[in-house]
Amino acid sequence: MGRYVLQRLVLLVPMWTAVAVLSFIIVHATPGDPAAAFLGQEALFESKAEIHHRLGLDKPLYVQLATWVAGAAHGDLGQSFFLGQSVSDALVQRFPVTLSLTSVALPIAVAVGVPLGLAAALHPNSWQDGLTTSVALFGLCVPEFVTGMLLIFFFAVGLRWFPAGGYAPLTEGVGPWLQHLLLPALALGMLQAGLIARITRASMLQVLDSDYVRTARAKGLREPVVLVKHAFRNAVISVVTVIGLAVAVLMSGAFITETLFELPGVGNLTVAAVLRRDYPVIQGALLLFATIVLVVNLLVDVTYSYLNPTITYS
Amino acid sequence: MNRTRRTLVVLILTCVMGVPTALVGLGAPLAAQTDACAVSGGTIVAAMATNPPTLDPMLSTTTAARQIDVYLFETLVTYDDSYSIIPQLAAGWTTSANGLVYTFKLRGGVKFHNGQTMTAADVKASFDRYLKVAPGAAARLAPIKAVTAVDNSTLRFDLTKDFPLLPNLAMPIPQLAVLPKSIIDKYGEKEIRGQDLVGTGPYQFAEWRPDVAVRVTRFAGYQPDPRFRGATGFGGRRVACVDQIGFIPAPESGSRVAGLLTGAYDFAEAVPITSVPQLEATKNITVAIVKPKWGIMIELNHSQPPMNNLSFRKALIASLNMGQVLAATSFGGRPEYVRTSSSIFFPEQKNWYTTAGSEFYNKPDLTRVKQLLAEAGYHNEPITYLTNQDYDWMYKASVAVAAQLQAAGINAKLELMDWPSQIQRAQSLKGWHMNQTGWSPRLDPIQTSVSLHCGSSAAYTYCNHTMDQLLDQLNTSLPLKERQAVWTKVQQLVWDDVAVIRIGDYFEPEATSTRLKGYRPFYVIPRFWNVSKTP
Repeated sequence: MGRYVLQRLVLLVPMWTAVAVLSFIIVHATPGDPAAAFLGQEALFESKAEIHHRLGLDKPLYVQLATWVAGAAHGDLGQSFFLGQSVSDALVQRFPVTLSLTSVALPIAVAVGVPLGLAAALHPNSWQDGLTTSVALFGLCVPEFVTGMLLIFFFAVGLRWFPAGGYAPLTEGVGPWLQHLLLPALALGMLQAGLIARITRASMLQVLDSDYVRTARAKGLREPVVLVKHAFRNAVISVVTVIGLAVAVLMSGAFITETLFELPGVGNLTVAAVLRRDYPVIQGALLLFATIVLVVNLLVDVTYSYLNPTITYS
Repeated sequence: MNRTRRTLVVLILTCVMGVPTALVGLGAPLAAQTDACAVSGGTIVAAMATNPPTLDPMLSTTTAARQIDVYLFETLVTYDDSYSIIPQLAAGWTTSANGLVYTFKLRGGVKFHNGQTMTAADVKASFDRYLKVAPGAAARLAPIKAVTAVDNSTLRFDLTKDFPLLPNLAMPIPQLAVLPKSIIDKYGEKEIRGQDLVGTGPYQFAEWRPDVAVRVTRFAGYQPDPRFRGATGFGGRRVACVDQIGFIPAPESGSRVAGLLTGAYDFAEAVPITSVPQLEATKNITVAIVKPKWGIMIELNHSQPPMNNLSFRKALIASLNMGQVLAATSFGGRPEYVRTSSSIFFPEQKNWYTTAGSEFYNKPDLTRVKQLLAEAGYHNEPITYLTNQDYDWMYKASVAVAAQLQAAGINAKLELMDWPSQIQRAQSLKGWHMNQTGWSPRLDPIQTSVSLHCGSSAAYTYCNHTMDQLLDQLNTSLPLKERQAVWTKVQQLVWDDVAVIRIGDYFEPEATSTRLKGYRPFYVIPRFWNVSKTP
């Protein structure tokens, strides 16, 4: 297992390099000029060259790419064109907000999705099954910004139970922190809950139909033991995969939700960077997201062998 | 023409480019608010539509930067509510007989936020830096040969030729802010950030978390200008009634509205027209209309056939029902949000508003279109029309215009992209004919040179030497009436030549909590000085 993990970590390097190069190419191929965002349209024409020189954009692209990749390899993601700070500092400052959102959204997604999926699997073609399907479809089909706006409309503007946006750090107390995060976490969580519920239902249905579950029941084991120890333990592999994907999605920046709820997280930072073509921030954020996805996938793979000892890596 | 030497008395000012009402306004009761704060103290939280890219007042012409810098910094002269020039840090000025020397006396005892007292050396240092770092300043202010600090309170500008100095000093593109010489020496041409954003304004810099918030706090050492009865335009007698103002970038309009409805915000910039009924029905919210705000414009690429053909350009005008286009931008034409107008300047800008050239404006005539297209030899070639959805009203206008052009037999094809891409594409001059845009209010006709002068990039290869001569005449210190006459000719030529197409005026609603007392919308900058927040 240790060797497997080491191999996967080593593989991160070429993947990470590929992402770094690709992100550079994508941002520089996208039309738009950071000078326009800085100077304003009225001044763009006269002063663009000065800004390009200051930002290093007048150098040949291959020089810019080499500088960026070499710097990134040493942990230097460059300087933001607009924030007056390094990209690393900006990401580090914003990441706790995204992490906070994830830490509230994920339990919602799991707490809603898994029980719903289980209930549906245990009572197929019943009202529980119908409810699960409806909730799952709602979560999957309704875009998070629509869910978010509905939540703001009802719970913030209507009932005044929650603020419409903004963020309160934990240092201001758990209450305000949670109050600011609950609505965006719900918006994000419902989407993931739908997915988790569907996968849980499908996995459980498959496992419940297997011989060893039938044998366990035939042996006279109590139903909860059959469901938890035998059925769910095997079905959870797929569920863990989806939860892992959900973690990666949530932590790699809930762009729309953070923008709608004015949460100063990595997603919000990235959207602002895209709008004003803050290339180093976009590239740095993409690298961060790729790293998160790769590491989370590795953790999910490692978890498999813990959940199912028959799974080994060599 | 000989000029007589004019001596300005501190309380009686003559603006070379201004109107007599500026004189009257200083002594008589103004329509502007008084300086009395209904209540002192508290914090105003303002939800803004954009993020400032910098708070260094000299580096950017963006509205987002200006909206905050105007609280921190002041200039020698500025604009009042009627868009006339008034003094701010200048106590007054004299002009030499030949018009080539301006001598400014500075107001005494003006404090910077760091406690230093403003002197002429600070103003000179600020001006010198402005020339080096402000976009376009070196070219625009080229006729200024030298700026000299004669003594602590006197500054002299020597010009190489007759030149409208005062409008150029007042124009906030970007702001010719006065900072301490010590700060200028420390930073040179580098961006000034953080606690070194030191000015003389009624508020001082407290904190900037990019994309999150800008906070400014009341400057206890600020002395409201005693020459004015109340605030006016960007200046006058500005009083900091509240202790603190927080500017929160909230690019999502729904978030701004929701925050206002829940009481998290006291002000929301640029609320959607569709939200206005809900806001108006809410007891503790007031909706105001920023008038003027935008001129809906279509810029033309004169290098791309058939746009280089005058008959074709005239056919565009003859195709358009401007009223219907404006109705489309305002969700059915609520008249308070739009106005047909052929004038580049708004009716509120009495000095420069004119209907010259409007003979064919908003007079669609399909027969005439056919005739003009035939004259132009147009054979249904695609006309690429750049637009964006970043500004909803631009998008709606372009959709309506394209539909009308197509109905008239002009094969207009919309190309949708985001705003930064559109700016870059337009600048490339490649593969487009029409560029949907909006012009915020120009403050003086010399600002239009950038869009109309031969060789200017933003003119998109439009070139007419008669126009150039007229624009060059405007770039002098002719008396107001003569400049107005020249401007009338410029505007006539804009329409005769179809240099650009003006659709009309678009006004944006903004909304405030009823707890704010004394707020009046103006230009593109919300003004929270002389505004109180009641409990």
